[in-house]
Amino acid sequence: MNEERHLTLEEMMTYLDAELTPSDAPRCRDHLLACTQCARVFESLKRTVNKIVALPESEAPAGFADEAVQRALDEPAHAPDIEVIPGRAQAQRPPIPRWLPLALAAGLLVVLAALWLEPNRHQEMRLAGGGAGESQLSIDDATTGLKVSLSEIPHATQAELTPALGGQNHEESEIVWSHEVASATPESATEWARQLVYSGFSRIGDYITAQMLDLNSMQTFRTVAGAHIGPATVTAIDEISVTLLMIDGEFQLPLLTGDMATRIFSHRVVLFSTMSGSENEFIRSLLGAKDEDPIGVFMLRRESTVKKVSDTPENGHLGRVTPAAELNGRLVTASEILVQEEFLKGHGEPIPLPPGIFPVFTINDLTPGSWDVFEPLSSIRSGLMRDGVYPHVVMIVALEGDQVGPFTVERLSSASATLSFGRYRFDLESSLSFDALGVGDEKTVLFDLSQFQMDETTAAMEEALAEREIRDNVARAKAEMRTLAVALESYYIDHESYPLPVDEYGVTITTSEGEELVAVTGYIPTCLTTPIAYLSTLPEDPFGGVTGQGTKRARYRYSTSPANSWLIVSVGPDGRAQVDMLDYVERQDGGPANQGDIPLLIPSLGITPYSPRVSGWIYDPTNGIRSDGDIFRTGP
Amino acid sequence: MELAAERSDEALLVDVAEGHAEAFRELVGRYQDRVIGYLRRMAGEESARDLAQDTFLRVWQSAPGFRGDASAKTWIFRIATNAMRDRHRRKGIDPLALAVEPPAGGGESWEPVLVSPGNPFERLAELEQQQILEDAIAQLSAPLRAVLVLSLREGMTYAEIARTLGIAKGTVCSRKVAALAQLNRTLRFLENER
Repeated sequence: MNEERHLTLEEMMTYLDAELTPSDAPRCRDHLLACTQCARVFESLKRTVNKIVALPESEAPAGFADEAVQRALDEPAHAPDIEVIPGRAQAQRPPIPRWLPLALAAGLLVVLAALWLEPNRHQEMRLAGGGAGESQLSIDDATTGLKVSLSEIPHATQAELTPALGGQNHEESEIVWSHEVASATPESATEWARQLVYSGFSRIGDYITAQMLDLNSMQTFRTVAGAHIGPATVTAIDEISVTLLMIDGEFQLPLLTGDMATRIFSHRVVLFSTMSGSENEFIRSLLGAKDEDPIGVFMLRRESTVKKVSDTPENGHLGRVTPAAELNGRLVTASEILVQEEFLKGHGEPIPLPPGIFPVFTINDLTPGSWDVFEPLSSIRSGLMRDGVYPHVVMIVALEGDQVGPFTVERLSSASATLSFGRYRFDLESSLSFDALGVGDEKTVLFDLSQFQMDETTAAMEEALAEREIRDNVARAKAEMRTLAVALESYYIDHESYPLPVDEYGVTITTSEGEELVAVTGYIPTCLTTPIAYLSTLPEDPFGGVTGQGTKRARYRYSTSPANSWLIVSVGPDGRAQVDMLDYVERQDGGPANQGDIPLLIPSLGITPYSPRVSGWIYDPTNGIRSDGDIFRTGP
Repeated sequence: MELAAERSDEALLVDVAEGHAEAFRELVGRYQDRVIGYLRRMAGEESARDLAQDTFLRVWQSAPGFRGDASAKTWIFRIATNAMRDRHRRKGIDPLALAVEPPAGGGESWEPVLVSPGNPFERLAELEQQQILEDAIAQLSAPLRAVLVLSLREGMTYAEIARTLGIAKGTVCSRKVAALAQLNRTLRFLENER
């Protein structure tokens, strides 16, 4: 996109639809900011789009769904093709859809990653315990390539699986093994169970195997009813939960879809998602939050650089995503993030995002964009990703006292939060309650930290925050000076002169009698607040605290020629006062009294003997946010 | 711990594939308004209901073949599109084929419609505005209309629309721009008419 030429309608459209590449979007935005002609067309385009979007929804005629179901039931059912070995009546089931493991189990991918990394490992397991049935079951499904046989031996179920290593299809392999957790004692069993995630299931005939993630060991495993997992026995597995029997009672784990599980897997990193009630509850239990504890979901902005590191004949491209920089080693997201090839089919292009707009994904929207949630420890997964820099948003779930990237959550309520980083404190208003979306509860609240680029080093972060603080303070100083100006002018109306300044001890500085047209310099006096309150409180120079006066905050510096004019000065980021009101200068031709003096700042008044002149350095952010100079205002 | 999270469309489709009528009913419930809305705009009020029934019957029949390489939404809308296509094809035409694609980049012009109290369109009652807009959409050629409706009414991305309609991703944008430009001309015509 060239700055010189106007934007085409297609460029505007793709920009509006957030479909531009990250490299084109800024240029498009900049052009729209600069070119009124294009901006007009863009606005008009947007308006037409919005009108169509706002059209009312259609509604299906009454009885439509009933009719659809009836017509469906009149059709013959689909024939299953599972071979069942006699021994027990088996319900006939259709083949397991090929995509099921993909859609359900990002966690399975972890297993597969392990398989790729250790291609010669043969998996076999024995499960102790009963309850898995009395028969043999054998599945040799041509469609999915799944080969499984399950048979019960006295008091034990044995599963023999034949992972087809090196094959192209993930579905060809299945692994089941029991899970030893040496560290879990009966006393800590419930605590331990909270670290388990039920992330997906596969049906094998009548059996359901559960895909589990163990956050303690970061291991992924698959289990069946009757198996032991650490100190627990799996008593039941169905499509919605896994029930564990432990010494202190039963514990039920809800099924989390693979995507969500992966988010949790990556230790408190979740993407904004349609968290359902049970997931929210699960997060709560995972964090050890009490019912009344607010949970903050902090949205951070990141950029990750995607680099293709190698090509392998089997997997095509092997992609690897590496964040631009680690943030003090504390940022909890990936050091290596991988992209799952399946998700990229038909999505050859990187996801184009205009600046300031970030992908928000739901569980059901597993697109290439959701690569950024993939978890570091699972290391490399097969993937195709173009080289490039990808902006994305990371969500970190935290309670009061937790770390969120570089920040510490000092205080957290369902309306606001205070974060700290070094000497910096930030008060945040919550952007959104998850309750408002019908997901989660009103105590789960979203905070937007996307203003911070999170791939910066600690030093860069410190610098960025310091600059931000300076910018805030400059804005505050200017606003307070406006308020002071109004107060000074009100005072003038009542007293026909401006108030005299005070010294650092609060004592009024006076002009010697008979001396005329002398500018007096000191600080803003308290007579602006009492006895008549031209101001409710005297503001303090936000930069005053770093002057030579120690940590004591200073009032704004103030000079006046009482009958005529005034000057308010904030010392600026350098903390030193440089601007002063000149004493009355004898020259009346309007030129500067001395070289370097700043002539009159209010052009409409012209230069008169009674007008203030300032001399010294003036703060100008174009010299650098941190540059020398004072911020000031003159009047009237 | 509470159970039974709301199931994803894809998970429902697994059950539909297994012949669970309840899952199918749930899926129809989720999609019926949107599918009918799409088909109303594409094929007209009269055919919409029949086509939608056709669509869901095909969903029921084809569910075992759903591979999950597209979202359930894209898949269902692709079926709806094909149902509509097939009906026309019996008459020997593909309603969604364009003889000449709108030119990519710079082919369309856009005169901004004035937004002022004087603009007759803005002065109309909301219902009337909506009717005019619907009529203008109905006048678009089907290929342009399909892109516009899937994009602005269904919120699909270019990639999703490309999959649904079986066209190239680049074509999605040029068709959408052409559709909007044509709508804009209609609105401008109104502005000048009154």
